[in-house]
Amino acid sequence: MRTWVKCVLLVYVIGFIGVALTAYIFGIPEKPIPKGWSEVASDYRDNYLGSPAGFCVFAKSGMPASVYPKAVALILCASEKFANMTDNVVDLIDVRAIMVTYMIDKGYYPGTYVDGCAALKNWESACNVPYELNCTEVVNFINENHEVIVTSIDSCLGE
Amino acid sequence: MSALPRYRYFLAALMFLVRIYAGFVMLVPVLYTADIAVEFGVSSTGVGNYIGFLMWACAAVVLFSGPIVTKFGAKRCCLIGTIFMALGVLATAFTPPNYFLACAFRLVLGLGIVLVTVAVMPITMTWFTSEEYGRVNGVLESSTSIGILLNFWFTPVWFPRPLWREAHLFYGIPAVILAILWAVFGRDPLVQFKEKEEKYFDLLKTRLHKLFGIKEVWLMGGTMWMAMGVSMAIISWIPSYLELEWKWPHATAALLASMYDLINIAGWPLGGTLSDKVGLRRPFFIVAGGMITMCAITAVTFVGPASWIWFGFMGLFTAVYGFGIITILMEHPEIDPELISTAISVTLLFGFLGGAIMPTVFGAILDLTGSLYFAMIIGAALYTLITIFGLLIRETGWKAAAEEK
Repeated sequence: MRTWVKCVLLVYVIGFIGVALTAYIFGIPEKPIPKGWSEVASDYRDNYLGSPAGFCVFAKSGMPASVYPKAVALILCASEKFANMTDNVVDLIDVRAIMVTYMIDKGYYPGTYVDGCAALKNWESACNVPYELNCTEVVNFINENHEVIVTSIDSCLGE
Repeated sequence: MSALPRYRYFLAALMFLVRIYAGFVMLVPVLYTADIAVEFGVSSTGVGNYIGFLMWACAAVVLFSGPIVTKFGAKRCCLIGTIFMALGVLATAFTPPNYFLACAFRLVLGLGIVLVTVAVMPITMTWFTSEEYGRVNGVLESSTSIGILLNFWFTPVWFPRPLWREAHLFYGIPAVILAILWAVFGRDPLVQFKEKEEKYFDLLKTRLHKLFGIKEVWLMGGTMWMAMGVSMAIISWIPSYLELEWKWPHATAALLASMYDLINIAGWPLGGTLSDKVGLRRPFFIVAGGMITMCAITAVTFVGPASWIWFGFMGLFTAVYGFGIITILMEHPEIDPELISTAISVTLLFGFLGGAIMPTVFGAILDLTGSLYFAMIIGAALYTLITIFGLLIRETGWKAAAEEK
């Protein structure tokens, strides 16, 4: 057998030993629980909030059209980060709480969370969102999870 | 001591910066695949197509780069290329949510990159002596990898998701500065090549006819497809794979992708030096293909600390065979000096086409299966073709030539 053939075989043998050692030491890791969207949240995202729906909720808010995609990307990103830090599932209340917190905390809408939620309720009804928005529930949710919500938004904003 | 002006070192530094920039900006979007999908309302196939789109410009130009540079002049070509890069990057920052427009801007960026790449070649050839070519070309060729590396290190830190538009806006500034610097300090080749342009296309046809009859041209073309296409697809999608499926932090996922380039740059002299020493080329293809398959599968299967090592080894084994693609063509007895530039262009064409198509294929697999793991495994498996090509190619190293005599 030629020397180079022996060398090639040796490299492959060393490679296989390396793979076996990797498997022995680390084992096959399990994937983290996937961040899922609840059925209602997915429907809200796809049919009322996102680009397939023409960014309806944001369009009703009076926000300039040029920032719709970025605003949606931010809300989706923050919702998923929030879910990752809580129960791993994005629920509709997560999305709504993040939207209200963002617009009030960043000063895009004047007033309190209650005012922000009332405005969101108007925009949603203009888009015929079929899921009732209970502002008391949303504001309580924000107050309970404020720190995690802010962290999620900030991590998506890169702050 | 060389009679050539010392200005050439400054010129080389400028060309190096321009090419690092080209490498840096070309893969910025791969760090924001999910955000791009949301913004343009496209599937992963669309995102893959968007990433690979700049390679279409490279593929369209590569066979005609000679006449283009001759017609417009190398200095002007490089300037136009830098301006195109600036336009492509800045336009990307301000792209309205229109996918086709975004692809068009990526095409402009690709055109800029290819113009810069081809224009620096005649400048290097005339401003440096043949004794300096190896060093200068080695440094210039490493610039793309260095640019990619820097992008993976700094972009996720400076511009976390979803700030891809802000990243492009900021990265437009260096391109404008480089364009101004090149306009002021750039130089044309010391000797002007007056090629018979009108005959170029006839000549090209004859050369292509000859080259397509040589088996090694096809095999090296296929290898280049893997080297540029599959590796670009893996590098483009691995940050998303780790971030979205394994919940790695954005910056860490990008850092792992940079391991490939880091080890590849460090290991680049290894394959060529060893091959020159033993006088053989084929074994390096035979060993590298299968080993890259093994490294890639292990890296994406045993995700965790082991991924860093195995992904780094992927870069190392790429360095083991990478040198040989052009070397085999240069040493091939049927490819004379007249044919070599066309042979290299044809091989690069395969590579650019791979770079344009493979990221889209990976995106399509993600859409079909819901996971990038299958795409990674298919990509990894394709690398075994390099081993098969290695078994089929003619040995061109000095040892084989000596044995023939």
